Amino acid sequence: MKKTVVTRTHSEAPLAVEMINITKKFGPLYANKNVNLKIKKGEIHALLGENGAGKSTIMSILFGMYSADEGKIKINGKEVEIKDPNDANDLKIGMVHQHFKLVDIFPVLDNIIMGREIAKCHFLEDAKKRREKNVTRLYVISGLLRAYEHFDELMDIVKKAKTPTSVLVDLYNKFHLTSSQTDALLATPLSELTVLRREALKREAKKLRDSVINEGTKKESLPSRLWWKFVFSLARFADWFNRKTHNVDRAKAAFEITAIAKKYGLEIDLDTPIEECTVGMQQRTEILKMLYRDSDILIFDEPTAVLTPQEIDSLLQIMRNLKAEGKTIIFITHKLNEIMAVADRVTILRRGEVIGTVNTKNTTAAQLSDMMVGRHVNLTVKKTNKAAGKAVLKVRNLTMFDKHKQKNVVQSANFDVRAGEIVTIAGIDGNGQRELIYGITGLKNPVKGSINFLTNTLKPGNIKQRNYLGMSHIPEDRHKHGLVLDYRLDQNLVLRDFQDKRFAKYGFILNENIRKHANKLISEHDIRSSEGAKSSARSMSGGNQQKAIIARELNRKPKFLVAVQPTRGVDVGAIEQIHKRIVAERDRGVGVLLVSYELDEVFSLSDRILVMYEGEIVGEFDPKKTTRQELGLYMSGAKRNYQFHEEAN
Amino acid sequence: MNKIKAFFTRENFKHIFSSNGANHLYSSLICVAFGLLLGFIIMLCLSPNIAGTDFLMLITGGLVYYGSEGFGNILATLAPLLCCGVAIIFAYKTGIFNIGAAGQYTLGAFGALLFAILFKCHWTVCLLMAIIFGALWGVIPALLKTFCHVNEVISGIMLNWIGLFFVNYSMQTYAKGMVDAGDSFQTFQFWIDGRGPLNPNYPYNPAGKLPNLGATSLGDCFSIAIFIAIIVAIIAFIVMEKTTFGYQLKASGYNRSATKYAGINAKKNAILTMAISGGIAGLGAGLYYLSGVERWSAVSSSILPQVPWNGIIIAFIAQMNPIGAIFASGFLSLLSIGATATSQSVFPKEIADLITSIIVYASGLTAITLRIVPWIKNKIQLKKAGGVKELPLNKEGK
Repeated sequence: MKKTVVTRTHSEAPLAVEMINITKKFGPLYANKNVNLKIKKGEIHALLGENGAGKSTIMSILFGMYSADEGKIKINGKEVEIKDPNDANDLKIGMVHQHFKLVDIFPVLDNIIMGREIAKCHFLEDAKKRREKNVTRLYVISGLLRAYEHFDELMDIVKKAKTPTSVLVDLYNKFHLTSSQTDALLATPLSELTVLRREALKREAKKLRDSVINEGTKKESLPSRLWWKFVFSLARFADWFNRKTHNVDRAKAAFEITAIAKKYGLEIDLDTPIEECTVGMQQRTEILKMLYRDSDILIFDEPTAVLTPQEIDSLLQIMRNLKAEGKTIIFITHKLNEIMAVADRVTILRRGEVIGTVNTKNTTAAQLSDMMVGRHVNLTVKKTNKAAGKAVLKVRNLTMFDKHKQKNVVQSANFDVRAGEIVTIAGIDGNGQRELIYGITGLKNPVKGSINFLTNTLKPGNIKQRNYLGMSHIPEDRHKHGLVLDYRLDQNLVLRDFQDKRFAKYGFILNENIRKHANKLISEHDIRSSEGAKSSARSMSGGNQQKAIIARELNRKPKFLVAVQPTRGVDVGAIEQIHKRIVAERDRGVGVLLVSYELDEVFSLSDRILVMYEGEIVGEFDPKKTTRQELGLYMSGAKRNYQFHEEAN
Repeated sequence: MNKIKAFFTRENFKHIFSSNGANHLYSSLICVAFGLLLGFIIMLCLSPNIAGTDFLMLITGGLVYYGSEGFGNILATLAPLLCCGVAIIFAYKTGIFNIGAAGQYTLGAFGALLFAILFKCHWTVCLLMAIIFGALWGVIPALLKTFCHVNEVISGIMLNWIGLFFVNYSMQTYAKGMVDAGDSFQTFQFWIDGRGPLNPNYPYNPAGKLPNLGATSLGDCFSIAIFIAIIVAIIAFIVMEKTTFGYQLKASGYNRSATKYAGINAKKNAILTMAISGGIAGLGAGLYYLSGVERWSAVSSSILPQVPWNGIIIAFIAQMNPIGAIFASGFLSLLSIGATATSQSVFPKEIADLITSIIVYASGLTAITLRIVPWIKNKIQLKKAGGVKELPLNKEGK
């Protein structure tokens, strides 16, 4: 790793990136208009703005995905032309996109080195082969270490260890080296390491031979001695073979990446396929991808939108570590508290134009949000006290399978949601919330259990019935479930009720009524798009897509509303609106089941909090009588205390 | 009246010609022109002297060379092609690639001929049976797909062959009355030009032939098939674009998860789609064999009929638009008839197949041709405006 020397005096700090008068038009719309951006070396610079304010566009221009219509870009004081992301890579600019660009079935390691593989003869080994090779590598290590004495222990470690890399690290830790030496080792290029290893191997083999000759006659039988000779010749062969094949290069990459990960405190398991990784780990993979390519200017495009609170904390820590190592970070976000926590300076964009750049030290979150939205925004939700009515939804013993139908990810959940209350399911992402919602909304069939809605028993998997009875669902994944992206906005706004007699007659669609309906919702909910009702859902920004879904679901006048992360990836102004609307629904007497990973939202909206941990409901709280710390204990499984009492009515 | 007047205004035409659909049309035309050009170049290489005249013959021969009878032939071959094209488009719009159209077509032919020759039914009954046979054969891969998660392409291809051998075997063992043993195992011609059967033992069922509305000048083969096919295409278009059923089907083609979320029964729709698609393919076979263009050959048919495969080609040239398919199939049958009118000693009649396949490859590049059109338009605009730079790009293209 090359270290860049950074001068820390802010006033004199040289500029890493300077973007001068950047203008970019999409059709008649200005995405960026005369944007001037100055980013100092070694700072964390946040770009703040609502959805569609042009943050992502300006960064896409910097990363070479779009070309600017006008304007200049200077990197480290030199004027450059960035035509495509490869140019950006050459200039040591890296970017973590909002939607990760990873290959699902490949392990983390392959995703990191992708495009930089050092394969021999273009052969890449598959996972199974690698596992087999691990066994041979084992013998190599067994030669390296005092295998003869510690063989049982060694086998133990290998059996327990998850990955070849961790085997190596564990073994070095255990037998060979202190922690500082391990560090040094991890930083050593593998070419040198193999030499060391070979020498060690020779030494060990000699030692072993001696011991076998000297003591072995007493202890060891001849077959045993022959066996060990065989093992060592095998080990030597395997070592040679490894050096001759690209496996060594993979291992080299793995060593380098492990070293980088260790340096910046990125927790990662190189051998897990991406599809089995948590979102946080996928993001760390993306970060490592940049670091492995020696990038100095790192762009994070809304990195926290998909993370749990814990993951966000660790990401922010990683960003601080990166800064300490002299990296320049550009951080696109609309979450104010994150900016206040890590950023040195903030540039605020509104409707494609720069509103201003401020030091975070001299400002407050409220000031920033006002600058961003252009008006005063209420960050807290106003909510009146209201007694809840009768139970709308009764969930009894609901048990759900995971994706592969291997294990239960929801374990007999029991709870009620009453009319006119907001029940929030809190918990760390991946503790069964998703499957619970799938079971309730009918997207997946439960293993067992029953759901009663009003006076009806819901048939498993029957969404039509739920539609008919008045259940609305704001889904977590708006692209997968919420919208048909290739349909127009007006078509999407009737996705649930296209068979309603307002919109269809004798099976024919009444396009005019659909258009009218769309225009009504567009003006009511302030859904912005390029061509109004006619624009395709795909062309809309994420926040406006979410607004459209919420407009559709609330317009149905539901009796029960399921909202999963309704404000995910939505800007502050819109969050305020969405929260208001959800509270309004509750005041109207609707039972609301909310799933949220953001504790701010959990505390400001809910009337009752249920905490889920590993598929079980472990606690029930009144938001006024509990604290974040207490919730945290339950969310991490340290405490559990939930008794369900059937209401007699 | 005012509405009609409003339709014919200059602005409205401007709007129509710059719409998305029109762009698709232009890009299709570019593909066709590209195919013809390449075909012409190949003909030039084969024989530069007569390439020009023969190329003209290839394009216009169907209309000119054989006179009005040729035109009747074109229409008769057009009808089944169009049906198969529409069948594939219909399934494709809902996200299913109905490569099993050939099998459904075969079964449709069997159904039509069985009821025309053996049971001596009226042509309406025969067509209905063609539709039912085709639909049943189409439902099988749909059932396999929805309940056993078998890919419809694999099961479709297998069912093509199963259907073909099933039909031929049935004709030779159970329905021997259909096969004319004296004529190399072809089926009987159930209808022989009003003069009655040549042999009293021959099946004779003039009611089974599609009526030709008295247009005898268009040849023996002409029948109302072409009108039925066009009506089917138009109905398919209306169903896709204007009905809630089409809304559901297209939505499940675009995003299956979202349709599930919306409470649409995707399984039922997939089965229904394949039944309809198979029915249309079967109808195509009925229209072909009941108009008497050809007889089914139960032994030499160890290859699948060509028409449904050409249906796939039509679907792609028409860029999945049923109305476009009318013109695409017209173009294809024009070429195939025209190819027989070229100098056969110099140019093989496969030159038509060659050109159509080039067009198909070109239409595979729709993504590029779709961009060419706005690019050209932009150039024209630039010339008019005197050079203001404005790139045609997607809005917020993420």
